[in-house]
Amino acid sequence: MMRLYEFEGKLLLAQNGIPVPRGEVASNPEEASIAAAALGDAVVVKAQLLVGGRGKAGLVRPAATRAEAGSIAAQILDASLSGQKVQRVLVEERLQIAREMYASISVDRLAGSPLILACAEGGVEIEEVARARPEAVARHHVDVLKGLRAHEALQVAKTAGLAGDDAVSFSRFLMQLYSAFCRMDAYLLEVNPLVATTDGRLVAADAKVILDDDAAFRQPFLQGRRDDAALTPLEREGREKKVSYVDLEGEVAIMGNGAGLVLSLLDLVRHYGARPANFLDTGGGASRTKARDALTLVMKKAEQDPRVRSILLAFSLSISLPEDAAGGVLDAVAARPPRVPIFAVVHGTRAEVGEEMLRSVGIKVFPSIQEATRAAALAATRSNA
Amino acid sequence: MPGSEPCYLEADVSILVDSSTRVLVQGATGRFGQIQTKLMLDYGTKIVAGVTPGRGGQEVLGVPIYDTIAEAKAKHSIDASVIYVPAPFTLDAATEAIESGIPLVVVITEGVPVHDAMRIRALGARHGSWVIGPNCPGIITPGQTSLGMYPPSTAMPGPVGVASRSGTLCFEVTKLMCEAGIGQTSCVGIGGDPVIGTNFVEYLKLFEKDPETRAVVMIGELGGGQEEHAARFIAEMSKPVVAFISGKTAPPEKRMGHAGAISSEGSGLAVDKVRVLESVGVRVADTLDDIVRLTAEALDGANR
Repeated sequence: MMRLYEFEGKLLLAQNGIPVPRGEVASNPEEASIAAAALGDAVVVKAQLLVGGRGKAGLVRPAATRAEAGSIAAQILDASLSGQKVQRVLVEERLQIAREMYASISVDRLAGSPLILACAEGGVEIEEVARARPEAVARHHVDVLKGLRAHEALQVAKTAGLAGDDAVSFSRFLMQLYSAFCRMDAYLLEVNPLVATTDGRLVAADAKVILDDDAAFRQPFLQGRRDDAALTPLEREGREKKVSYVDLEGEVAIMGNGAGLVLSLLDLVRHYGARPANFLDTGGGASRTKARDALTLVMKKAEQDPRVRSILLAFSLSISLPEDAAGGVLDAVAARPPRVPIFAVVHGTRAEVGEEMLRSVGIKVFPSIQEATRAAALAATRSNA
Repeated sequence: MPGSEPCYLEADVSILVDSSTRVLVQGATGRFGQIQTKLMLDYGTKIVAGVTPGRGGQEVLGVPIYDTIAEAKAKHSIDASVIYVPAPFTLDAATEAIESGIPLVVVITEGVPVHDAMRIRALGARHGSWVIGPNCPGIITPGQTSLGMYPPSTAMPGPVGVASRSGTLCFEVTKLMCEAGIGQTSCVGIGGDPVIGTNFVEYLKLFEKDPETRAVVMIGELGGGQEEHAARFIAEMSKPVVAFISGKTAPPEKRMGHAGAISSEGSGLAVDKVRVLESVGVRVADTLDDIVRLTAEALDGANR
């Protein structure tokens, strides 16, 4: 899943027919000042981050003049929130707000269909409204084969507490939002607040957008997007190499094929008294290149993080062939001698072939996941003693 | 709730598939598809035909290939289809299978866009096709048939039904069960993606109805609300359920903003799933070894 910055999300929404405030991105105070001038001086300066809570942290502030926009941008661009440094700000026109509302569309996993949430009160924590007054939040599951009908959208608007022309306008916005949701291959489109301006327009004043990376093959935006400040360097490399890599803090670096399998390795490492240094899932079918790239990533983690004392590898061969999975491991080790011992378990179809290949480069292969994990954990914690 | 109604598939033994199931393979001519077709044929699966657009008239390991399912159905009776087609074309393949009236569709493909998965699920519900996956290893009824790529050495006939969100973890669990002499009626990988064709609970319902299944092992994972949703039904089940939930110590899944927190059931955290399952009498295993021990105990209990 790819979470977008506010400015990116708004760009895509605008391309898909959703009105957004006029605005410009700035990476330094001078650019912010120039942007403010272009927008008529009175603006809002908003930190661009992939975590929430910027409002409370004072990272969204109004400016009355272009000079003030510059100095506010200078302060915001210096700040960090939840470990993320602010690298850009969005300088936006200030909307003349008549009303703030809420609208979102997300993939409801359990129902297997898109869920629309709408509320006549926006700009607030929707969870709190849902908790305190559930009747104030309209919910509607969309039948993907039919789409969102106008009368259904209108019903949502009415349930959300709107009436008359306001309800009709809101319902049209929902139709556009649903259309954008589908065209963008979005996982989540959350507009909070959805502003009704004093001159009668509905504008997405803030937008949280999460896209589905599996749709990259048909979404040019996803293909072009490289930079993601929320990721560590190794996580970014993981994304480039198309493996699922998450940095953690621990002594045993891990890789496996299959998310559930790798998650259980994380749990098992802890069970044996050590901590996982990372999560890495190559996906069920690890090709030779992928296996090589994955182990290389794990070895880099071992090189960069002195706490890492061992590497644990688990392959369950059904889609993957031993020549690919183990072959990739051999390629990685040949290019980069490991700094720490590697412990492995290989199961499944023709596992013996894979086991032999790994042993041939000095990897300690065990017959069970438990034994391999225990050995990796012991090696990690013993060397710390 | 849309998409959760099962269709009516009767197999003589176990759930969904048995030795009589006649199988179509979509994507048998690709490199990967050919390898998997061979593995299934070696296991004894009755593969009657393959469909790959543009390859009609060819043959793979003795299996006739057709351009379309309609052409295949003109010559063969088909009970199920297994799809190995690459992600960009999986929706088309699944649509064809479902609209052709095939009652069981197993979507092996990993990387299917979630919007396509939602369409596949909705189509399955509308046409009465049972959809397994996407992103799954398939289903095996040990000793009878395998639709997908379940490693043959990790499953054997026996009294336990197994349903899992994770493919490779499921193989590990059933391997340990086999080593302890406990076999399986059917093992199904329900799919690892956020949106799957059929929810967890529907497989539990099948195992509850299946006369050969005496206990059920469910392998869950952090994220989403499948396990919590299944708990309501489990409370009514007559057969014992053993569960293992991976990701208890993993960092919390990224929340999908405010809408995500109130649209799905519960927090998605593994510890919360464990709590909910235990509250309805599920024996939740802490480690992989525990699964075998608890399953053996559950079977002993079921004997009395």
